[in-house]
Amino acid sequence: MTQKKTETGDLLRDTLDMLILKTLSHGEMHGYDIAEYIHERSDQVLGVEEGALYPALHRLEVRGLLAQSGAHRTTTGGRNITS
Amino acid sequence: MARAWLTEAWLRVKALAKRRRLERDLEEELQFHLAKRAEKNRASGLGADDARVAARRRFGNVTLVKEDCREMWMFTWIETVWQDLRYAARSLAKSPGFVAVVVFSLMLGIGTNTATFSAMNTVMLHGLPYAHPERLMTIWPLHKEDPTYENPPPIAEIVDWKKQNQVFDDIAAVGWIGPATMTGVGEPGPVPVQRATENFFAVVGVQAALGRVFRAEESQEKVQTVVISNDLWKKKFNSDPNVMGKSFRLDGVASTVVGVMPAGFETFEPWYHGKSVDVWEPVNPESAEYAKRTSMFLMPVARLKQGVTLPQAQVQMDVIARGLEQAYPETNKGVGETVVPLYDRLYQDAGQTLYPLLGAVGFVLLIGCVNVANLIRSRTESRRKEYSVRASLGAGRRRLMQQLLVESGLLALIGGVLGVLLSFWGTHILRAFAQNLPHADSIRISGRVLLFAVGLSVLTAVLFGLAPAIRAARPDLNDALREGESRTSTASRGHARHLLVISEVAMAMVLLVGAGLMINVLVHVLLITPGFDPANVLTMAVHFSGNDGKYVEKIPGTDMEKVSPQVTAFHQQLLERVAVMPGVESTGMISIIPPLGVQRRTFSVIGRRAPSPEERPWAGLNEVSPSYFRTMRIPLKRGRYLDDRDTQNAPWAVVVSETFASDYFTNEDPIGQQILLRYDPALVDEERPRQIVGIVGEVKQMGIGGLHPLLYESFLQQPAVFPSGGKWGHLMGFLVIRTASNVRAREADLIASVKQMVREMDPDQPVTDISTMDEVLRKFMSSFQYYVIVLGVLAGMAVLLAMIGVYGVLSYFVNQRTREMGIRLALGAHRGDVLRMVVKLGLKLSITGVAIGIALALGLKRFMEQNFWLYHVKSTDPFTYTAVTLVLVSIALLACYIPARRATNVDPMTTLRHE
Repeated sequence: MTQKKTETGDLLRDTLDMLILKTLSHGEMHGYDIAEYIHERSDQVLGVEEGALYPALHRLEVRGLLAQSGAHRTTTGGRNITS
Repeated sequence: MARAWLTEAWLRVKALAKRRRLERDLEEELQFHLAKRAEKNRASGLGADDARVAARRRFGNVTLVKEDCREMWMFTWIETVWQDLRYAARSLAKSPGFVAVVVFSLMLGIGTNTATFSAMNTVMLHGLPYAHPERLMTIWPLHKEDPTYENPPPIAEIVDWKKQNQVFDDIAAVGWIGPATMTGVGEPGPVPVQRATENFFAVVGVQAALGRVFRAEESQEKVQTVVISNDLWKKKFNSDPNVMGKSFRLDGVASTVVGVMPAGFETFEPWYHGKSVDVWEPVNPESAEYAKRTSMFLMPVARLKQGVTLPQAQVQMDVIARGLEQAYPETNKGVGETVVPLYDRLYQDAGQTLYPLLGAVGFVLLIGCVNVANLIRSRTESRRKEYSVRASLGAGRRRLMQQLLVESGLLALIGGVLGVLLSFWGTHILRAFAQNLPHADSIRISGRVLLFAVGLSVLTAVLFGLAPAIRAARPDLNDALREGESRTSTASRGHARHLLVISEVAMAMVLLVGAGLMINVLVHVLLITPGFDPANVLTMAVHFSGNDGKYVEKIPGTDMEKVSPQVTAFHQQLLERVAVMPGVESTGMISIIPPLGVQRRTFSVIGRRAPSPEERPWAGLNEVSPSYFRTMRIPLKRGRYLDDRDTQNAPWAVVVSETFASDYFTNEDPIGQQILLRYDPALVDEERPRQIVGIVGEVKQMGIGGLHPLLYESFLQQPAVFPSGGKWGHLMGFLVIRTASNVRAREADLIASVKQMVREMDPDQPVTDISTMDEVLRKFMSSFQYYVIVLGVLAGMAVLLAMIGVYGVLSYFVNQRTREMGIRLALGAHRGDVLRMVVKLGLKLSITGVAIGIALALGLKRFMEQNFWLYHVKSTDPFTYTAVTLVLVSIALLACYIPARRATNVDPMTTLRHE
């Protein structure tokens, strides 16, 4: 649904989504850990806003790419996108 | 893509169920996040409280994040639409005038269209309830000399076609639906009966539900087999499965039931009004009685062979017609045969009534939509600033468009609902209006019609909502937000608005011309008197049956029938007895009262060259009692009335109408001339000539439309023997009774007394068609009057809507130019100048619209001539055109005046200070 859009807002959003999916390809994590992980791995360049992170996690879950049971993890669909 | 969407929708639906768990998870995770962050902060050396506060500070607004997350799980569009709906309702409530005009326009448009469509749906889209109806045709004679001649073909000819063609599977024939008296089962009474050939049911493809259909040879003179309707079977035979073999008498003919048709089986007749039939009687087209090719009371129904097209069938029928012309020049010279789809033939009248109506309501809807589009346009224009503010605060384009579409959708919905309510009332009027059309009784708003109304509403919403929505979605932020927003609209925008108003006025003008013509016709019809004085005249009929053998006797071996002298004696005695009843001024008798019809007869003038068969003069023949003229107050113009001296043995006399005299005796004196009448369509002349003794005033005998040449002969001067088919006028008798005072007061009394007298003379003889002459005329007029009223009301609606349009555009114009007018006034312009400026624009638009409307109406000349009954009024009648132009322009002036007045009341100081 969002693939067709080329507006900047969507592009940034998609980037964040990709970062999250990539991060979770290493295993289950909580939101806090995802933020920290991205922060560390980007040599403290990328600070993920909590205000963007949590809605993004839920957005991905709505699209069936993530699942949550305490911690977040990718679904098969989510793994297909990042590999 | 579609799959992804489906998964998403499914997950959302699941989420609805476990919303509480999601909520808890979210809460836990956020708390966990904050705790971890605080922990990390403490590790870097902060105190416990500071660490927590710093974590909170870094996180930001927790509630907002929760909101955002929750939103991910919701059906956002539903919620935004709901939001938009509430917003639309609020903002519409603030401009009730705008809402009222829009909703009113839509209500009229949708209401009238829904009602008309429900009539169309019931009457026209009904379809023929038969197998492969597209292959059903009728074949109709086309008289090249007189294309308006509308009789069905001779029955013997149908047999010839059947033998000679290779394009039809079979050709059947059905007759008119008429009442016959049914005796022998329950209460005696009239039932609707139709004659049909044995193959009729097979050709339309419907079998008897019980038993079988009749066979041709089962039609004997006094005995026959019949097929009955499901209704009659239920009503009279209590759905008895053993009904086969039961018999009853139908106008004296012993009739045995052989079959019952399935429930809902519909039949038809040559001039189709959707009447139902209870009994079908067999007719044998090969019977010797039709060999003379002069009996024409059956309508052919043919089924095309699989794969044969209509043009192919027509080619073959042309060949057959040429052969018949040569074989039977006397009856067939100049006669062609046209193949017409059965549906077209049956629904031709209905189409002529309904299509102009559909056009009219279509115009009303269009004008309404143009109005709404214009209003919404003005509204969006003046709300440009609002959209710009919203857009600069971050509203997306889609969201803005959605909001506007929701607003127009809401308007369309309200208009639609009110329109449907209006249409319920409209169908009442249409039922009365369409009383002569098939299935008119069952006109109602059905599911299909509601669907049509909903579709219409949605379509209008999208149509008039889309353009402004697209425009609003591209707000020029800088331009609109600049203070002192520019007050002059661009020329092109103004032009579009003006074009829309011009088109509205043009459409209203077309409708007004149509309605004006019809009103003109109605006035003409009402102004011309029927030719007799209908006030205080009561009428009832004492018709003798020609079938039961009581009054008519076949002369064996010939085509002639002997009518008992009892017929005249009965009528005469009845007249004598009624004439002396208290309160009766005078009484008379005629075979068929005006304007119900007349027998058409041709004649030759003695002493003139015998006319050829196709150019024989004709007249409408009335058989009357001498007292008829006085009773009906038909004035004598010259010569004398018929009187008691005109007896059987005296020379036979005849009185003619003025049209007859002027049509056939242009340069001669008709009085004293002798004519010889013929029993058409039989090629038999009367034995004795009749001498013209007088000329009487015109009477509208055949309908209220035109005048026809008429003849009156006395019921005392009639032959004893008639050729078959010639006796009907003699057997029929309508009494006309003139009372001295108000007929209503004596009506019940008179009817009872006459019935009593008839019963005394013959207990089996029915008295029918009881009515006052006023009522007869009114009934004849009513459906046409309804038509004119409906058309007039529609034209009125169109004018009203168009004028609202003119008013709206001028108001907008004045609003836009308030500043300009203020400056003009401040600089010394007279108020009259400002008034003139506004009125000039209004008049320019209206007159352009009227001119285009006139051109369109003239272009529709052919359509009007085909579909409107334009009696004595030309479709280009200059009086009508002038009158409606004046009406429309003066209403337009009124619509201009109010905004113009406002413009002159502009206070220069206020407007300038406002800057």
